[in-house]
Amino acid sequence: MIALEHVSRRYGRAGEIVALDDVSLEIDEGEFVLLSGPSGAGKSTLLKLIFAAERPESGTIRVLGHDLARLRGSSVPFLRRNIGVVFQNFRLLPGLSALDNVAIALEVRGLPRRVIRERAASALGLVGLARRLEARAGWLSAGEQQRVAIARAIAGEPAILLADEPTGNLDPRLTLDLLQILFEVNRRGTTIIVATHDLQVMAAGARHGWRHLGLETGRIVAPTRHQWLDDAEMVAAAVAPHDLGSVPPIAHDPSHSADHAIFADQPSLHDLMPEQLALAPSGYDESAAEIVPLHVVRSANGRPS
Amino acid sequence: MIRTLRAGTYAVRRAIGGMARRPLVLALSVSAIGVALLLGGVVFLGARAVANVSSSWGGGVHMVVYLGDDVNPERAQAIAGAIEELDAVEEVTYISPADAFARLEQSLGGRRELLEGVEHGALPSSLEVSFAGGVRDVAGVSPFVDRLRKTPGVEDVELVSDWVDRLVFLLRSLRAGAIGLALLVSLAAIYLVSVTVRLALHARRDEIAILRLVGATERYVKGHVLFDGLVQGALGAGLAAGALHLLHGWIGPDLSATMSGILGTGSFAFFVPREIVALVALGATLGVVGSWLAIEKHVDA
Ligand SMILES: Nc1ncnc2c1ncn2[C@@H]1O[C@H](COP(=O)(O)OP(=O)(O)O)[C@@H](O)[C@H]1O
Ligand SMILES: [Mg+2]
Repeated sequence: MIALEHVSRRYGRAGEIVALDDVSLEIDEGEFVLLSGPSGAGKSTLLKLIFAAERPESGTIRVLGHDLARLRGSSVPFLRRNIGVVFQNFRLLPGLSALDNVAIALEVRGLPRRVIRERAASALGLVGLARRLEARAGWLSAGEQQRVAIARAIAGEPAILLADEPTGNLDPRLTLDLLQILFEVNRRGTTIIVATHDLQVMAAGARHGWRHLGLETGRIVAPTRHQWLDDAEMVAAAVAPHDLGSVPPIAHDPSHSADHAIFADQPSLHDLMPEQLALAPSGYDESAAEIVPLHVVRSANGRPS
Repeated sequence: MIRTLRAGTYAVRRAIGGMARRPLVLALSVSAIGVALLLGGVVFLGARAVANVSSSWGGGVHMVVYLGDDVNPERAQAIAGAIEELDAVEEVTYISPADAFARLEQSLGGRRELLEGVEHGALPSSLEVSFAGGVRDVAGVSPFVDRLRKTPGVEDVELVSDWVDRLVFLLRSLRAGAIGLALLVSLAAIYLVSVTVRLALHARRDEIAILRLVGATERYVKGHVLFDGLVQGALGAGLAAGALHLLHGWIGPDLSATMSGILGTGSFAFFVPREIVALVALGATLGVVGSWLAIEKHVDA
């Protein structure tokens, strides 16, 4: 469905910035793939190559049976109609209603208006916004805006959904809602690639058994421990050395099991700030509302001591 | 057919709805086109008024034969008949003292009170003679003019060639000036419109990027932008026509009176309906061309 062979992409006048370096990978139909790595690793570049917003310096990219190097510029729009894209900053038109934002993706296909309305409404229903169709996108909360963006991406029933840091502007609870939606979209058959450096997303990926690709300075690497948290012991180990003040460390907290500890928004465990930790009760997928922030006393220099 | 029509009205509604969400940008583009066409319209109406004056003079009076007080209308007709015999003469018009008075009154326009106390019969009757082929033939009729001067009942003959020449020169310069001004205004208008459209496109680059992201073809994107340009151009032209109409109603009569006071003829006419349609079409074209130039230059990717 998606295959990259020895793909490189450089930026800068002399090509001194290496965004992707000899990347080869293959993604099958229906897969859910996490693409993780620190900022600047090349995640966004990889996604852009897949939906033909960028072209590689070398290597071949095949998407949905097309060799992108041979795809004519005038054919790119038709490829894009089969690839939904979601971004960290949503990229909605704030003055338009949720429905109209989603409708844009269908209007460019020249569908009849009635069909557009129906499909846009059903896509919004799928992301839980059936009752906010007429709300102005700019007035919706961040979580709702991201759901509108997903509805726009899936309204045309694309074969592939790409999401670039989709949880970057969402708090841990909204992140869980969003993952739930992506999970549902994938269950219906859409191939999904999520680029993220959000540990919470990676933890959820581990739970669901999603495939995980690590990217570092433009190269595919085996996910390292700090990119790939699915180990309760590791979570406990991460928290244990810190001064947790009056709140007992997770591992000792009787009401929560450590394997539901969630790390939000942090690329590396070494940089972990205590306020970025949260605890979720078991089975958080169903009752995300019950997530409990973990209070950690900070040391004088602002870092965990 | 009905489907196309429905799609069309939907497109217009969408374009207007889309623009209404960016009132500032809309106001900017519409008023740029409006101002451009307003300036152009003023120049056009002025130039046309001037052109009308010069053409009415070009085919107008070239010789005036002033008749004595004792000449009765019958004698005047006889003299007129004699003049009309000449090949070079196109038309002879008898102006009675009352006609002359009425004319003077009209040309004074608002300053009619100057004529208070002047008797209606105080002005001499005259014959206005126009020559075929225009002003240049005047010199050729001088022998005839000499004879006419000696005719009983003829008080004086005024050959208007001298100041007609000067007037024609003046009108020519005016016309050239108007054309130059029109050119300048058109250039300014095109510049204004393209700058504004570029600004508007800049404000819409998010929308255009999103359109491309969700798989809009370049034709669709272009059509979308050009259609907005069309609607905005037409709106701007409508505004310009309205403003011109107001302006015309406001200072048009005074201008007409002043002009006929100085030149003895001329008036500022407003656009006829067909011309208003043309103005709106021009505005729409300007909007489309401006958008097209801007999109060619600025929204590649
Ligand atoms: N348009 C660009 N021009 C120059 N450098 C770029 C451009 N896009 C990305 N880069 C560089 O390429 C590298 C990879 O970027 P990116 O793919 O955005 O990483 P990520 O999404 O993983 O944070 C970074 O060093 C970034 O600075
Ligand atoms: Mg990125």
